[in-house]
Amino acid sequence: MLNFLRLSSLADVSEMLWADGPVSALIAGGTDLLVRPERLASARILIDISNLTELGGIGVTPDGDLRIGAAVTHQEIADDDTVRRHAHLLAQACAQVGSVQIRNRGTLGGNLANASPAGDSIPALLCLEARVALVARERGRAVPINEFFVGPAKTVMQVDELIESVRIPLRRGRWVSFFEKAGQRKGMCCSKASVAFLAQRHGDRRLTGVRVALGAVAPTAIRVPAAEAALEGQVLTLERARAAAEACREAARAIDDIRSTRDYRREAVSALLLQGLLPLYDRMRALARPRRRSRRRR
Amino acid sequence: MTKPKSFRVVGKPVAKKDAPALALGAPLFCADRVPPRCLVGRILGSPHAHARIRAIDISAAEKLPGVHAVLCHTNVPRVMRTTAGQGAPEPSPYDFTTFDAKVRFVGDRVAAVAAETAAIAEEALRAIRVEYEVLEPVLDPRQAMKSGAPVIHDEPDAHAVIPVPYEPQRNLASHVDTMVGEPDRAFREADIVLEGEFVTPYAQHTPIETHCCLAEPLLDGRLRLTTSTQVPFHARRIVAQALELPVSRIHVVKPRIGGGFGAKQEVLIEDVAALLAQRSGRPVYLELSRREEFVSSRTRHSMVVGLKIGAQKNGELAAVDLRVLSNTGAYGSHALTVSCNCGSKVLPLYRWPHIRFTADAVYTNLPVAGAYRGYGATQAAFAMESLMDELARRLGCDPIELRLRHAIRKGETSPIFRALGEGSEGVEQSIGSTGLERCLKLGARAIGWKKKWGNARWHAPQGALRRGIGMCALMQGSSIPQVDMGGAFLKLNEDGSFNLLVGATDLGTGSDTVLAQVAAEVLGVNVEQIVVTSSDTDLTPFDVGAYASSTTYLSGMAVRKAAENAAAQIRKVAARLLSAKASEIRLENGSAVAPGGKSVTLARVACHSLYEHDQHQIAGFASHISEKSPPPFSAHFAEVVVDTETGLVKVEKYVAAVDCGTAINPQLAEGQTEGAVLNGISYALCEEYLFTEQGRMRNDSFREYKIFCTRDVPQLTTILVPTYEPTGPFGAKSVSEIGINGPMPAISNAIFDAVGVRLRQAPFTPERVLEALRRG
Amino acid sequence: MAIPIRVKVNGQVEALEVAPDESLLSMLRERLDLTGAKEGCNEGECGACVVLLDGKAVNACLVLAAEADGHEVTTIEGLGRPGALHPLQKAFLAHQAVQCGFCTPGMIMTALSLLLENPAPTEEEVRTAISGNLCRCTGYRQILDAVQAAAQEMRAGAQGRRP
Repeated sequence: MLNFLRLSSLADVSEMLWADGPVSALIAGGTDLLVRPERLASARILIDISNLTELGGIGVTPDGDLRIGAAVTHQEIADDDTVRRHAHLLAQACAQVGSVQIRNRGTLGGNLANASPAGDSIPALLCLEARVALVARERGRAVPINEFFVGPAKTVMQVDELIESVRIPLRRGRWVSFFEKAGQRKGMCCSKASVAFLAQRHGDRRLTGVRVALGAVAPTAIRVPAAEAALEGQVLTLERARAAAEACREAARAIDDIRSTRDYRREAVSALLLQGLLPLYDRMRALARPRRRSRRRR
Repeated sequence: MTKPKSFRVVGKPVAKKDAPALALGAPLFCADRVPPRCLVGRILGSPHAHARIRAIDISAAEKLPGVHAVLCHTNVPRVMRTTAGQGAPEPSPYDFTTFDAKVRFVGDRVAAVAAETAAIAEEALRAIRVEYEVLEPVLDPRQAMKSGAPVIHDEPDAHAVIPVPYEPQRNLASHVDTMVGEPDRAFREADIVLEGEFVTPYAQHTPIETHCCLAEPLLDGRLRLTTSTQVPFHARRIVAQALELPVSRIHVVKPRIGGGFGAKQEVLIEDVAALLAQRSGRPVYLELSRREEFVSSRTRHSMVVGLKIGAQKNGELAAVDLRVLSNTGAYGSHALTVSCNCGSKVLPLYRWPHIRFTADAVYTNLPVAGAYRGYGATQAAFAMESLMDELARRLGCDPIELRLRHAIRKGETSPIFRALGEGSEGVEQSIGSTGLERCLKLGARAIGWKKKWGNARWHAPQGALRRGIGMCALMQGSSIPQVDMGGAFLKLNEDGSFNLLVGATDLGTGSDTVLAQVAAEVLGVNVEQIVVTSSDTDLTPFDVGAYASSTTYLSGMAVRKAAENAAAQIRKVAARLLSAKASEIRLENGSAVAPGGKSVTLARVACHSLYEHDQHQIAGFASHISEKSPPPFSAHFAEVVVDTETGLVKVEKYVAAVDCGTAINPQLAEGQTEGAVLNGISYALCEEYLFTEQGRMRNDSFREYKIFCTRDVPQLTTILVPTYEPTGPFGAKSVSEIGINGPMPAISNAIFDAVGVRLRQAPFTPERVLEALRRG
Repeated sequence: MAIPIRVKVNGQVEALEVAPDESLLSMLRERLDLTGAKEGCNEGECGACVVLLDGKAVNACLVLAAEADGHEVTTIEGLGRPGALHPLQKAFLAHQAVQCGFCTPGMIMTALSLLLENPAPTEEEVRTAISGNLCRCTGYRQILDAVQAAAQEMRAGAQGRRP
């Protein structure tokens, strides 16, 4: 017999999880839970956390983090000015999740808790070096996103923990980013492969703080240090872009599954990175050009 | 019939009659009409691809509180039949019974229950104990044809009901063999011989409304089935057959239905719903889940089409050899006729002097194929139009020119028309109308063919992107000649309105509106004056239903004849009222008008005939069969961009020019064309069933089996090319199927134009394109 | 376990008792007889069941009825009446965007949520907004045209009312 509880405070939820964690299922947007009847069937208690104010909200914390509540929806993130200013990459990725109907319900916390290797927000959060704030009855901790996932559908969360928010360190300077995904069709698709990219752009066309992450090509989303190293501190050239793309191909430990093949995924991440870098290369050259001309004139 | 100078209602974009209520979300569909306290039906599907049911115990399920009926092979009579909704006797083999002691694909029926709630019904399914003897499955049609392969239909009572080859012991569901002239000699003497094998996947119609049926026992002991069907009259006959009842005990009503595309030309769940209602004495609603729809309803026949064509250096066509291997899955529904259509809707398009056509439809332990828009022509056109493209390149000529030169013309015939019918011989016919030449010309202009074809600058690579352009030509048919029949009945009411009763089935195509337009044109009234009642086996005349591109052409002609019949009676009464000669009276603007302009309204005519003098009901009735199946023609053009790094094929522009005769409702004809084209593009680029080695479908949901959405739609241009078909109502032919046949060859040809790689296996997924590019 | 909820549906407050695993779609169709939202897949992939929840488009099959407690739901039945169609409904008729009509209510509700937020969308924005609504009958063009026409009509209507 299934029970449904709508709790009004985080403390109450923590209390519930402490007592009944193993037989409880949290529901915020429900877009994932309700398409998995087996998970719904195995739960005895459904805890609706969608109305908890503690899990909502987007803002900047006093210690300089962008905080996004776990129950904030993908659409809210995609549309939010603060996110766009400080973590544009995350807004880009969230805008590509599912359909508008799914984005209106599906939450960032849900995307993390489900830990799908293909979750679109995750490569972005890896690049942004986010931390996942977890709370339980008498404790709390912030887990760096790169340590949060253990495998497909597996995280470091204990049965009595829930995700309170995601914290993203604020960045200074001019940053460039993109999120590219390959799916079976254009809209409303689970990613076959995805690439998130973030870097700081300098006046001399150099890129620093380069972060490259891939989705759907390994048991969890992964960073690609070799690709980052190929671009770090350098002016973006076609050769370096290709080297980074090659590094992505190498890093992908993809499998054959229902959506695609191992070989294709390896090609795809390389091509997706290039697809994102080429316009950036053009843009940065275009930005640099007028200055050169003015120098010549002088 | 000769072409009238102008039309009043025909050819106008009249709004669909049912659209306002549909847009308001009114309860018009089967699921919206489920009465309170209705039982819920559920079907237990087989977990095995091939197994014998050694024992089945339904007692625990029967004892569950709230369960009102449990069906399985031990308590349901065995009546061999087919689920294919075709005219009787059906050309599909009788290899199916409501429940059998053997299951032949994952998802095959094992049992069914009716219970008070869905939860109880599901619990009841879990309570059914089945002991299976698992048999070796055979999933590949080539393996299935080998000697020693597991025999899928080893039951002694599987049989064909018409005299056609049927060898279930060899897993052969049908075989067709036709020859014209001396193809072997012609190939030997040909300068150029091209050959290829073209593979098309299992794919599905995926109507957004799945199969559903409400069965209600009536007070007089009859059963009423409100069901999402394309074939209400065949459904009545087949359910009666399954339940061993006279058809008079069954009443089938088709409400609005949420798409069919051939999937609902199958009497798939009505038998179970009817039996559950009969046994429980309660109304039962049975609907397939999306997963069941994928696995257990019907699919397109996956085919391997081998094609060989021969030609001379001067471009003369020499011979064609078309060999079809069709996978019909676990049952032979439409196996024979879909195979025949591969030849009959593709080979007559060009004037081949020598022809060989062979087709085998083979049983496998995979989901069951059936009727799907295009009906075999889709698969064969992929092969033919791809090889014609290759031939044009070999000859160094424009592919449009090649088609223009060899396409069948008005007044000509093809030996294929006579040779290939629906399991029997075909019907000889000559082409009464063709707009193919104009389709080719207007389509080429719309896509900018002259500027792009062979233009190196236009083809210049942009990074990893390559551009290409491709085209194809197509034909289909309109109804099954000398087989299909439609009936129409029309009566005049006091206010000058008419009730039009037709057996014809509107699947969302707008046929109720189209048929009302035909009647209104004849009777000189507005469409609003025609009240349409369709697809009700108690009320309306017979009609074979909506398939074989027949409704507008065939049922439309029945309506025209019925309306003319009623019009003659109106003229007779009006003649008395106007003191004029009946033959001189015209019907226009809701009135009967005598020469000189004196007129009387139809309302007055009706009142006079109903109440005043020589009282009688003015009513027209007609049936129509066609001696011909006039082909609509079409030319399709695709412009693609191929990303050589991701393998992604993007269709940028797509043009479909179609000759459907007179478009009775041009907006609806465009809608049919665009829908068919997009369905075809989606099929060409991403739709495909994936199976495990045990024959279980892996991508049995919309999460994994993707159909195109708004973001995938290319710039789509539809051009209606009017012609006048003398045998159709006001010159109409058909339009619903032909559009789906073009995208696969047109896109494949465009991909070749872009990257020089010919894809012979669909869909053209990025994975496949990239692999082909790597192979070179 | 029956959960008491209060939910405003098409402007009217409904007090109901729902099951914990009951979807908003079942609640609307079975308890309130609002059958305009259709079930096409029951997993949020087809959009036939789209309704507005607090003005935002959602798949009613992926929302628990219990979660709708205290919220506002608008269904297609709340949009127009016979003879007094909403501009979107009128535009769907005029552009022959209704074929079988099974996807139409969901399509219209999604389009409505778009136009409430963005009265003058580009074609690309319309395409993106309704990409979670599947239609197998049309090639979507007539639907896209209808949404654009309705947007124009609604803008004109809004301006007309202003003076």
